[in-house]
Amino acid sequence: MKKNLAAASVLALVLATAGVAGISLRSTGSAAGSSSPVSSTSSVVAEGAAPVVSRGERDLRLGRSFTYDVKASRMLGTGEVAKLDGRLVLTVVGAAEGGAAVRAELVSGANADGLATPFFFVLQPNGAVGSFGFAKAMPGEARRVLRSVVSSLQIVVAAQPAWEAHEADVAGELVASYTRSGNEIEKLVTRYERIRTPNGLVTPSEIGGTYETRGGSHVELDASGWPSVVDENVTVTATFEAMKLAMTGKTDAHLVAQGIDRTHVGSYDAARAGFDPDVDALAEGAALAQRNADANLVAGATLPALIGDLDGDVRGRSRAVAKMGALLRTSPEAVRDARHTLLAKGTPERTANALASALGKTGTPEAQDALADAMKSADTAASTKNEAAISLGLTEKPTTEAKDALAKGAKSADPELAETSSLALGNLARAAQGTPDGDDAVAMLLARLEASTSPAEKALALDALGNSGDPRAVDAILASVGDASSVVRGAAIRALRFVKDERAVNALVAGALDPDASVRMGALAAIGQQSVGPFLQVLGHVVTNDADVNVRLLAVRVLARSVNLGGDIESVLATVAAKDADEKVRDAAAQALSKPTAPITR
Amino acid sequence: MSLVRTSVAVSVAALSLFAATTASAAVPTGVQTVGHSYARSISKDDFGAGFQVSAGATATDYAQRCAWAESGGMCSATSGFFRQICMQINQSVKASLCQQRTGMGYSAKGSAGADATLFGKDLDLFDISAQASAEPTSTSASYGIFVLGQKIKGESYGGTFSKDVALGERTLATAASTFMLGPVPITVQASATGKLGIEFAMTPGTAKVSGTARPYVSVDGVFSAGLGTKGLSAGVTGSLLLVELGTPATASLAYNGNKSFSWDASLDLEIKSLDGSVGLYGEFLSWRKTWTIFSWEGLTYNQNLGRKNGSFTL
Repeated sequence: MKKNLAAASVLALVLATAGVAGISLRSTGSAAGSSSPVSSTSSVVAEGAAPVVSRGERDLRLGRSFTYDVKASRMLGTGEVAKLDGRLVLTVVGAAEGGAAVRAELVSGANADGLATPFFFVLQPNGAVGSFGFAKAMPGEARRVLRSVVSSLQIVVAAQPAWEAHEADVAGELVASYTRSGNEIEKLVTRYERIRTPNGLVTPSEIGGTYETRGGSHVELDASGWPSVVDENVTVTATFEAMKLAMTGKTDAHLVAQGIDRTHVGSYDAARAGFDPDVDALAEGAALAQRNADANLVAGATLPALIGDLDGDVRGRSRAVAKMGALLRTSPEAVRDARHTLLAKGTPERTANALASALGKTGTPEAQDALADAMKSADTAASTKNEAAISLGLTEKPTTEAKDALAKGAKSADPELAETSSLALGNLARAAQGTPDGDDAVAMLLARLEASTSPAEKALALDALGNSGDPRAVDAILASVGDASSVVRGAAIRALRFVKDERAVNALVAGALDPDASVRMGALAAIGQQSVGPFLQVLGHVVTNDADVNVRLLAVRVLARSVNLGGDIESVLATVAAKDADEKVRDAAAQALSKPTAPITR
Repeated sequence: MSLVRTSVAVSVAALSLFAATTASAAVPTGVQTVGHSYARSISKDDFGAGFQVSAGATATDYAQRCAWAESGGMCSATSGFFRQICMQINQSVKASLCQQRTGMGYSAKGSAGADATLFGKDLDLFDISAQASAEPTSTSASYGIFVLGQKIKGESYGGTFSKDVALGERTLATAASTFMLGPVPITVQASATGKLGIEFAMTPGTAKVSGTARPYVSVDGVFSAGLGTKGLSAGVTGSLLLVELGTPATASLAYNGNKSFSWDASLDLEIKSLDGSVGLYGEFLSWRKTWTIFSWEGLTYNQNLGRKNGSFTL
């Protein structure tokens, strides 16, 4: 206690030395990033100083303590994902960058592990909640629930009767609009501008979805500037492709006591070194969410049951393979069983092929070993070896064993397996770019191109190098873009599809003007894999001038992906929709123009 | 010899140039392409799939083509910037085209491709094609299967070939997003999973090339979601057909002598898309509730576009 009082005295001295007795921090007028005007002038007030409470300010004197009875629930659809019914004590314990440090403790009603653990947050003078501090040992789920509840008490005030504020909560950054009448405030959550993800804050469109918000809070302010009553009911609906998820948050909070408690003054500074930088333990939560998404897809099915589903129709088989992939990602035992079945003599070809593709999506070293062994086994059917080769090529983190198996397959006496393995080696090189295995794979394919004697052999090596997207292959590929054979020329042009290089841009522009339609098609397909910006001019030329209907159709397809770039793309497509000589091209352009706007992702 | 020896600066700022171009398509001398094609894109509730199929044939008279290249004909439809680059390409191509001054080349081709949109990402889901070619001194047949722009299967043959290339059911593409919704981290993921294949018979002959290609595809969007929280489980159930396509495409081109050709192409569309339902469920202990959030009856196109045929002289 003495120590705390001493700390408070030191703090008071520091504040006084700052030249403004009792006033340490100046409000920026809003939450982070806000443009809303606020008249507040002070935040942490030194112990003993007169409270500075007026419209737009909270009483942030050191030791001031506010106790709330809180009932909160968070519902996903009709399922309750969090519930809290307890007493939350908030105490001003020091100064922090941007505001006052507040210690929070759920002193009763902790119904889950970690909820009773004290934590801290920074409260700005206008009521905006800034950063949080949680001990590393505190479970992520408890942190997120408590942060959500504290965010519900966030009321960013201003002097006007109506204003807008930019705020942050547990889900992201939002815009809220406020109206005030006396001590009563109505808060409406207008929209989320950025959403919290394991990779930081991103816009909803970057996630690939939309967020709609409905509802807000009714708040009554106490004379201290703190809320005395908060009645919140907000629904956020996130829509992603075929999925629509609605989260409804309800919080009822009542201020039941206030006073002075200096016991914890200084505790923020003492504790902050132990705060977890991953404030919401989002990495852990995201990993759990991913595992649960896979588990939900599998829905309790076992590997034998999913193998049984392969006897169904094609759609049933597709779903079974998707579920197999999810099961193998979450269960090492299932990977061992899958390996055993894959390599067992007498396993039906369809089953083995499905396992080969599912193991490929699993991507673990054990799964890759199983696929490599299947390629080597004399008992494996030819079609399964091909499936295993394709899967190894498409695995995200290929192993040396995977590369070696494909290198051997590329030399197989079976021409189909040799070609499939060569193409897969190129795909593997792309995933392993910058690693010794990736380097090896590219070197093998370059040697193969060098040694090829027929246009077909040369085209295959170029196809495989094109899969790699490796910059070291560019010179060899460019040396073939002028080949007399349109087969080789087309393969070379298309092999530039993943190359980010000015020379590739130039070659692709030229390819789009090649006299051979198949080469032009290859160039457009490659451009479709690139960021289309540098190609807009040539695409515009091709779509309006090319003699070949299929080339123009493909150009429309590529432009359609960028229709939301707006401007001239839309006007060109409109011209094509109105004037192209071929009805199919006109229709395709019209459909492209009616496509919903999607974000540019490449 | 490389076709490209020039540095080309292309910028978005130059976009306005192409708004002024016309829709007329100049027919190059010495080459005739004929056939059937069909393209369609479908979108619903911010979800989309697009596909195109074609069956076609091309005839080339090399002597005429060489003369056309020597005259700079390939650049007749270009102007300004494109004429500049086209004339440079023409110099390179002329030499290769004129290496074979006489004879005919012809090819037949069937193809299918589809795009899909998953979480705002446009995916080049697949492209499948098979073709037969007869050049003055050689014949060949080939096929190729691309998934997400990556070639995963392809072979070339020196002559007539027929085959059923059937890949097993496979997850072609996956997309996932993890984000906070309220206090809960949520992962939503989607995969495009299905079967791809092509059954083809390609016959490149000196008097006639013919090809029958039946690309067959059935790709489902399989969705799931998971919460980063313990106790309650909630997720997405169901799947959605992205595209189901089994489209026999045939094309043939016969050389009747005297630079005269007759051709025949047919497309029998069997396409179905956006069919299925997706539901959300939640469960806690013994309680489980499921409710449908999307249900689509599906859009079906079963349309025999019929046969097209004709003749032409180069």
